[in-house]
Amino acid sequence: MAETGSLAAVQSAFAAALEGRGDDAIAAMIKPMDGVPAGIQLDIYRNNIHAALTRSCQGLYPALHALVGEGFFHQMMRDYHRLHRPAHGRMVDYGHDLPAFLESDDFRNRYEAANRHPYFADIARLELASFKMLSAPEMAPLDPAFLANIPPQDVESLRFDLAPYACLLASPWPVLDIYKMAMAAAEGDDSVNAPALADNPARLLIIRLHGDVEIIPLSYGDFSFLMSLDAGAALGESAAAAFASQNDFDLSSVLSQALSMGVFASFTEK
Amino acid sequence: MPLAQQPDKPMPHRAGIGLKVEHYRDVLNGRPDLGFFEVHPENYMLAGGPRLQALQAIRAHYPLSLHGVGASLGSKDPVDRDHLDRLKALQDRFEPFVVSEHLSWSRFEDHFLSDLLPLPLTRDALAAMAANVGRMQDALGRTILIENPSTYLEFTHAEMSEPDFLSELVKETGCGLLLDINNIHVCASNHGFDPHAYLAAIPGSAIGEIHMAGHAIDRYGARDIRIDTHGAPICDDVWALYDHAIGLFGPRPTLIERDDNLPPFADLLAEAQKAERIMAGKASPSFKQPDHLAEANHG
Repeated sequence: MAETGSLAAVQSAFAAALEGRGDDAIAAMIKPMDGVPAGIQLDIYRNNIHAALTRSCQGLYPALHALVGEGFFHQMMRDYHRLHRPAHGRMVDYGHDLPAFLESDDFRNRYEAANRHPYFADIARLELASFKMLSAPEMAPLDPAFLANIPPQDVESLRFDLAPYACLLASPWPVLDIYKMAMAAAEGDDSVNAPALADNPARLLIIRLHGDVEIIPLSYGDFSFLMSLDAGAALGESAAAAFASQNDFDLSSVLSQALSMGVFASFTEK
Repeated sequence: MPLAQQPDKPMPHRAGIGLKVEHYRDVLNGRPDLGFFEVHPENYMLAGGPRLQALQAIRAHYPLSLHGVGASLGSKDPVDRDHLDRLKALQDRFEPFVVSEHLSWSRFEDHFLSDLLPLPLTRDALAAMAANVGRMQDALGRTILIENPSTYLEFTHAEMSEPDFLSELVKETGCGLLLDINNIHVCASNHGFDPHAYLAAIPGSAIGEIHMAGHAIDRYGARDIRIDTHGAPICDDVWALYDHAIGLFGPRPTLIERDDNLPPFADLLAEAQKAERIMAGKASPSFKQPDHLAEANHG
């Protein structure tokens, strides 16, 4: 137990008050301010913390913020902050558990809207992936000229690594269309129609190109192919998986497009 | 000089602006006539991408200051080593003319409370803060500046005033001070002290930078509480206090901070120009510097 009035005691009691575990211990150490109860003084800090964390998450999830609205977003953030407190002061890393939170029973039981709009978590996933790709390490993409040196019989055993600034995202919901609608609405444009939710899955490549993130919808076959490569399968095996999901899958087309866009960082021969 | 503790690079007595993502285009296209820019290093603790590249491009044309908000130097525990490593990497890449942090704490054990929380002004807190300032200066291989924060409460068991606490910190660690004029005004109003007396008690030669910002006034019952928001233009009272501080200490690199309700860039530029006019006025030959501050202008 820290000595009364010590730095450790002050910080322990202050943290307790800010995290909703009671004001009494710290209030006893606060010099009275004329006409202002200690709880109000502490509220200023509680508000500042909520505002900082919420501002950070709003910057990370602008489409989700536009979809749910200011009031809902703030309430949702109060619950999120209570369950997911930052462990350090780098706010660029804060809020990354939000997609999982939006799928948790805690959230679903508390917010009826979560059940009416089951795509919230995947919208958040899309926005988080976009941020991560935007701030991924710089790396030169694989030069397509490498293929010239590979004997044709060895091509199908090649394995490719996606570049750190490229990733894949699948959702049972049309998350790219919903994202575009929400971002247009955030800019005051309400003319973008909501997409049909049923039978309208999204299969996306998220990639940083020329300093900006692009979200590119892929066919089922192209997505399966890249997904399989990303999971470590060889080119031949990945192409077979893609043909199985889409019979007009065009291997040379998707491979040349992916190489020219810089989707891959490296390859290995085996 | 122990452990390559380099003093901060000398800076012209000019004004700068806190750089926001929203300003990149104005700065890179317009090349405004400003002395420097300042960023929170925590916003650039990223692996790569356009934000770092924009900062690199801006750094190619302007001096840069790194103003930390995440080190929590006032915590009872040692400053997070990982955080210092990341800060050092940014320092090595961007070569700032100054690195600063706050007289405050945010971290309690493994919880980060994302605000600049007030320290009890006790010997105990001074020892913890001085140890962490020392750790940060050792990790960066330079002296840093420590900023006086806005506070909304004081502790019953304080053993010294804030200027005395800062003076002791300067003596013990060799750090410099980042004097935030708006924070002095906010605290003077909230806690009922004389801001001129506060300035008179500050060791002027340690001041390496000045911050200027706007604040908000909340009302609780019959009284006002001033809140440091960085969301409004700098008010007349804060300009008057700045004028007084420059008169006392002489010109210092002065930053216009604006984080919320961002106005057109030209409005911030106008505030920076106003600060430079005040500095130029005080730097005129008729300016008589108090003897005990003589080293301030030559240090």
